[in-house]
Amino acid sequence: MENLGALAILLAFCLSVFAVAAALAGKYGRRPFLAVSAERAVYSIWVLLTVAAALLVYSLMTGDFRIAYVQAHSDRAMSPLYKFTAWWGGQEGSLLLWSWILSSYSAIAVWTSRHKFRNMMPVVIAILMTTQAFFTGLITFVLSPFQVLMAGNGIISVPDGRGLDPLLQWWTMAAHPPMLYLGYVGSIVPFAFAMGSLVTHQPGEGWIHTTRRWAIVTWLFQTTGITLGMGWAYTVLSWGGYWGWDPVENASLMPWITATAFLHSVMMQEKKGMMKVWNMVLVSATFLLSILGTTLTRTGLVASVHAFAQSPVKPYFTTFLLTALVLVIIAISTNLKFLKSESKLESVVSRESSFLFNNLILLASCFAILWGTLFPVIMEALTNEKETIDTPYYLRVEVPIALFLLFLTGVGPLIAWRKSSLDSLRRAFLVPTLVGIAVAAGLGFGGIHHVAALTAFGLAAFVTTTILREFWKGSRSIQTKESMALPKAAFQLTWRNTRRYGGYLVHLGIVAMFVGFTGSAFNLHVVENLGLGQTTHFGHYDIKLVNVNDGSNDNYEFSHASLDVRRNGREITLLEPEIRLYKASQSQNTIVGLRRALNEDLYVVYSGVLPDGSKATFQFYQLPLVSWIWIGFWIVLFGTVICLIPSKVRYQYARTEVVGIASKPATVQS
Amino acid sequence: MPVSLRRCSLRLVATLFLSFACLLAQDPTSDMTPSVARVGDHLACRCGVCRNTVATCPMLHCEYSGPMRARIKRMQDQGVSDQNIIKTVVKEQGVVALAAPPAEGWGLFTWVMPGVALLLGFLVYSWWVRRNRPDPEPVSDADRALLERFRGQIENEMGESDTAGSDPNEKK
Repeated sequence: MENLGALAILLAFCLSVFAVAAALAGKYGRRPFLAVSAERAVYSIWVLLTVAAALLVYSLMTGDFRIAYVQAHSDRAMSPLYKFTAWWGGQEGSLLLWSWILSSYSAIAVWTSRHKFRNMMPVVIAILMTTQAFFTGLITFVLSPFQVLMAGNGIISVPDGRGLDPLLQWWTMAAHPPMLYLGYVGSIVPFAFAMGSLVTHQPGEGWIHTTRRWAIVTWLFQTTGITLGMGWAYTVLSWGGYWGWDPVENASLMPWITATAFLHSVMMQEKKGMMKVWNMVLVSATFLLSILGTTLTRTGLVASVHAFAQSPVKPYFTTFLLTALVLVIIAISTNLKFLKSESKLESVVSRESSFLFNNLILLASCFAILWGTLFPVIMEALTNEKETIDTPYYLRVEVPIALFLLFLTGVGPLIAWRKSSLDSLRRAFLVPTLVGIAVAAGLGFGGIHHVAALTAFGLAAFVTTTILREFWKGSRSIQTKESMALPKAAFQLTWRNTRRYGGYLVHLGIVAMFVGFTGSAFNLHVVENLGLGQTTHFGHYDIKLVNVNDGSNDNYEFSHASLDVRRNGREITLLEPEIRLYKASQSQNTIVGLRRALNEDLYVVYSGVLPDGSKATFQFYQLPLVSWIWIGFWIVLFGTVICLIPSKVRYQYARTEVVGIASKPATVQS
Repeated sequence: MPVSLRRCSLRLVATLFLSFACLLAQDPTSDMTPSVARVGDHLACRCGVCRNTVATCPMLHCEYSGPMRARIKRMQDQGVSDQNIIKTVVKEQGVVALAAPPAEGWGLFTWVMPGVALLLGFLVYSWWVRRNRPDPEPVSDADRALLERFRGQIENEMGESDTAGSDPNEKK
């Protein structure tokens, strides 16, 4: 079994190297059969890595404790779901998952584009397979998931494994890593297409449409992965937070930011043939930051609670990252002529200008996070002195940037392409601005005096109004012209231009998430010791300890508390926080008692009993508006899916030139 | 003390004492006062798990923040000023004890660089705007009037088209 798995990975590595060589020889040696052979190698690699992954999962499921990875990350008592998720619970298995996802993406990309971009595909394959060779090389020669436990010259087996970290035994953590990997790894495909188009001087923008779809899908996976991670941190780590500005968390956020910038600026290239260099930089930055994130997670370069332990892969990742960076710089700088802009900017007050501005702010945000993450490493190398950059730095730097981005979220979509007159700006912004000011003023008079929070709420109201007005105006127009009910008109409106209105929905979701983040300015937290039957008043609640009991099952021992929660004398919920001690790993975990509501969450952590046994200790948190983060995510998900649906009506316009006069008449296809 | 809680507590203590020993320590947050929080806000929690400050670390039995809060409280009771408490901790542990580097020496780079990046961004933006502006061409008054007329017409038509849910520049 283990030999077959290791052989499959070794063959996948060899085929990756072959695919790179065959693709380049096929392209530049004018031997088309070699290029076709490289395509087939891509499919074969997927088959081989699927076999290897299936064998590892089978070993985990059946408890084959001869294999070191299975012994280190699973045990007999674990449920089948967590035995399966142990696939990515450790370094070797997660690298196999990385490789398998990359091979899947590569196979899909090659299959769907092999005829469309015949000239470019060999270069795309060479880029994809170079990355594939790197990762399969790592799990072949450095960190094999099929290494067996040895004693002397013989293979040994142990009766049971050490089990998966209890913190990882949650459904959100089961889904979080694969989602993030789907996002990270997926960023390689747009990068490969972008570099392929650059190197082969691809005419037209066909590849951009293909790349944009890939970019949206991988962006969605990244968003889902990050949000699942936040959800896991919130419900599992028992600290009442969801984002800790840990280097590994930051590493997941940075490629998301550059991907967001790319999704905006790529529209400029599609519509106007502008910002080509910029788009190359963004798509490359997203890829490189994905690799950097993987490097930070796996090499112990920075201290992080999320990172895998120190491993021997640091020099390999660093070399790969630096080589890729140098090659990208060479590729872009030697092809600047090809990337020359096709149009000119008509006005500073235009959608084009606002896109670049939004991009710059996004990149500034990304840079501030990158700087905060890597500065301690740089300082230690320069001065031999350790530095700490924690949450206060990020809050001080990122909050103003985030507020400005929120403002631009509302402004950007309302500025016309090419040029906006002052009159049209006034018409577009008057009502939303008044609503924003009214909301901020109302909350201020209502007793909220936190300046950043007031600004955030005001801006959220401003952006929401701009978006709802766009829907309202468009729907009313269709309703009047075509005599249909307003909801149907809104549906028609969205279907006619899914990309635009899906994008608005995504913005709406982001606003909802910002409202949720802003709620953290008003968090309450206390620690209370309660005797049985004793009641405490906390925030809006009266909380009574009803019962404490303890027990055990195959997987863990537990102590369980029951708390009766009342508000204004009315019972609203029974919270049951718990402490667990996992038998296999001898590690403990707490299960929070959580009451979710739109206005605030009540979050209770049971921390044990006092030494004299008289009272149990609880941490109570009142966390306003947290639910809006998760609601916002669902809206973002819905909006992104809408963006991916083809519009009912297809508008085709020739690219506008300097003064915006179409060189040929518009055509409409339905 | 209620009998049932005593029974549960005794069982808990008996069964979990060794493994949960850390849970049974005294409540360290009792040291948390506004004046302790004022100092704790400047100091990083160095437990290796969270990225909070000594003031905001929510872990009840944090091995670092708990004792540090107690120490800050002790020093304040002895009349040591906030600044001197921070200086003492930094002298012992180095600047790594601070939640964020001080805005002096090398630490200044931490705070300045995001601003420099933003400034560079604005410069790039200004350069891009200037570079991408079309060259002004001599236009006669008659041409200008004609252009304005057409521009107004285009804007009106685009406004109508926009409100009908279509983006005339949309290209699939």
